[in-house]
Amino acid sequence: MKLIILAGGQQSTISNEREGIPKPMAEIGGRPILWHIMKYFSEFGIREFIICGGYKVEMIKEYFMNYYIYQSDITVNLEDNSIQIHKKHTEDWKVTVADTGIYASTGQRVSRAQEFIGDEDFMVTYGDCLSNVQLPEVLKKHQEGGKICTLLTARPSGRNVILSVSEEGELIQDSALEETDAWTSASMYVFSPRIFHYLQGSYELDYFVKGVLAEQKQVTLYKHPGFWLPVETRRDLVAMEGMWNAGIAPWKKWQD
Amino acid sequence: MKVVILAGGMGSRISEESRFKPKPMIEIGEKPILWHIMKLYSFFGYNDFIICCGYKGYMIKDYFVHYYMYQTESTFDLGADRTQIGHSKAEPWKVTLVNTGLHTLTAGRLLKVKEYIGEDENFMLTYGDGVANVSIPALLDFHWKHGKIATLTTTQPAGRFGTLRIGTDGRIEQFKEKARKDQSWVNAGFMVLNREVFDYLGDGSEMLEDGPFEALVRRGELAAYRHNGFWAPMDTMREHDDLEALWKSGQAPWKIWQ
Repeated sequence: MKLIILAGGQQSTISNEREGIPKPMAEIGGRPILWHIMKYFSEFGIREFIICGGYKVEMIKEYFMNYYIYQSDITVNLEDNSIQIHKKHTEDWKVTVADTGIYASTGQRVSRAQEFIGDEDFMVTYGDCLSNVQLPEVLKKHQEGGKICTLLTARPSGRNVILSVSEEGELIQDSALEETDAWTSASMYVFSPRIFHYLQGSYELDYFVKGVLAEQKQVTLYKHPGFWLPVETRRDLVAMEGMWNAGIAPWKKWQD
Repeated sequence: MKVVILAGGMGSRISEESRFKPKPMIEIGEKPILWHIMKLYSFFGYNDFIICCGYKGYMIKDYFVHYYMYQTESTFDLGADRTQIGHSKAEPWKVTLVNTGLHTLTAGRLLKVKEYIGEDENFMLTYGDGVANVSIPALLDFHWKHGKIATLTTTQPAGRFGTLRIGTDGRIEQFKEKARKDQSWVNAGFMVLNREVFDYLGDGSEMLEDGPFEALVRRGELAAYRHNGFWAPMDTMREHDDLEALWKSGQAPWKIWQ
C-alpha cells in the first residue's frame, strides 16, 4: 500500500528558519516531521510514499536526494571532489516527490498523484500530523466497510480541545469529558482508487469527504482513541520536541 | 595528524544567528568561522579534518559537498544534463563529517569519532567557534616534549573591564584600564591529545572539560601551552561583529595565510 503525504501548503513560520519552509520540513529532534510520519508508517510495512509538494517543493526534493549523505557519516576529499560514505544509514523507501502546485487544493493534489497510485487502495495523510494510529485495525475496518473512503477521527487535541460546559456555565470535569463523543477529523484517510472518479474540481479533501462522499454513504469512520496531534503552532512543535527529547514520543514505534 | 573540530552544539548564547544555522557556520567575511579555523591548521600542513556534527549538521555537510564546485567555474549543459567542473581552487582538505547527535556532550562526541581517528597515536582537537593565531608547530613541540596525554592551549582573554584596587575605606588605590595581563588564564581549545585520552571519557555522558579533564589533572597528564597571541571566542553577536570588523579592516590577526 502506498501513502500520499500532503506537503504542499503555504509557508510555515513555526520553525527556526529565516525564510519560510514547508511545514512538513519543520524539525523534531533534528529531523523533519515528514520523516517522522514516514518512519511511523514504514513500521507497518508501508515503503512507497508519494509526497505532494507545492510551496518550496525543492527543499523536499533536496532532502531526499541527499538523504543518505545526511544520515551517514561522510568524507569529502576536496582534492578530487570525491565523497566516501561510511556505514550507509538509509531506509528501504521509495519516495516520489510530486510538484502539485502552489495554490492547489488538497483534493487537487491527490488527483494529481493518481498516476503514481495505480489500481489499489491507498492512504492519505496531511504532512503535519503525528499519531500512534494502529494501521492494521484501520485497514481491517476499511476492508469490512467496503466503501470508497475510511476517515480516521481522533480526539481533539492541542489547544483546541473541546470542553464540556454545564448549563450553569461550569466546566464539567475531565472524566465526564472523556465520555462525551467529540471526534475530529484526523486528516488521514484510506481510499479506494474509485475516489478518482469523484474527485474532480477544486475540493479540499476534508470538505469533499464530509460533503460529497458522506452524502453518498461512502465513508467508513474509524475512531482512533490514542495519540493524535497536528502541528498547528510553534507551541505544538515545542510540545512534540519535548516528548521526543524525553523519550516518550507516542509515535516513535521504532528502535534507533 | 588529524584535526577534530567540535561543531555540534546548539550555540544558544548567540541566538540571533544560530537559530538558523549551527554556530560554526556563522560567517566572518562570507566564510564560516569553521573555515577560518581549518585555514589555520591547513597553513601548517594539517589538512585531514574530522568535524563532529550535531545541531543542523546537514548544513555543514551541504557546505563541504558543494565546496569544490563553488571554488571553480562550472559549465552546466542543461539539455544533456551534463556538468563540467573546471580546475578547482579548493583547498587540499579531507573532511570527514560525523553525526555525533543533537544533545551529545563533548566527551560523547569525541567517542563517536574515535573510529575515524583510526590508529593514530595523537590528534588535535579544537572548538568550532574560536579563532586564534596559535603556532601549531610550537604547540606540537610543547606536547612532544612533556610527553603527557593532553595539552590544551591557554591564553588570557582580551580584557573587557578595567580593574580596580580598593582600600578598606573604599578609596580606589589603583585603576587599570582593561589590561590583558590581569585576566585569568582560560582554556582556548587548540588541544593535542594522545589516544590514551579515550580511556578517560567513560561512557561519554559528560563534558570533556568536566570529569575527563579533572581526572587527567589528578594524574598530572594535562599540560597547558601558553599562547600570548591573538585568540577570540565567538559566543555573542557582539564578539561576532568585532571579528567581522577585524576581517574587513584587512588586519585579522588570525589570517596568517595568503
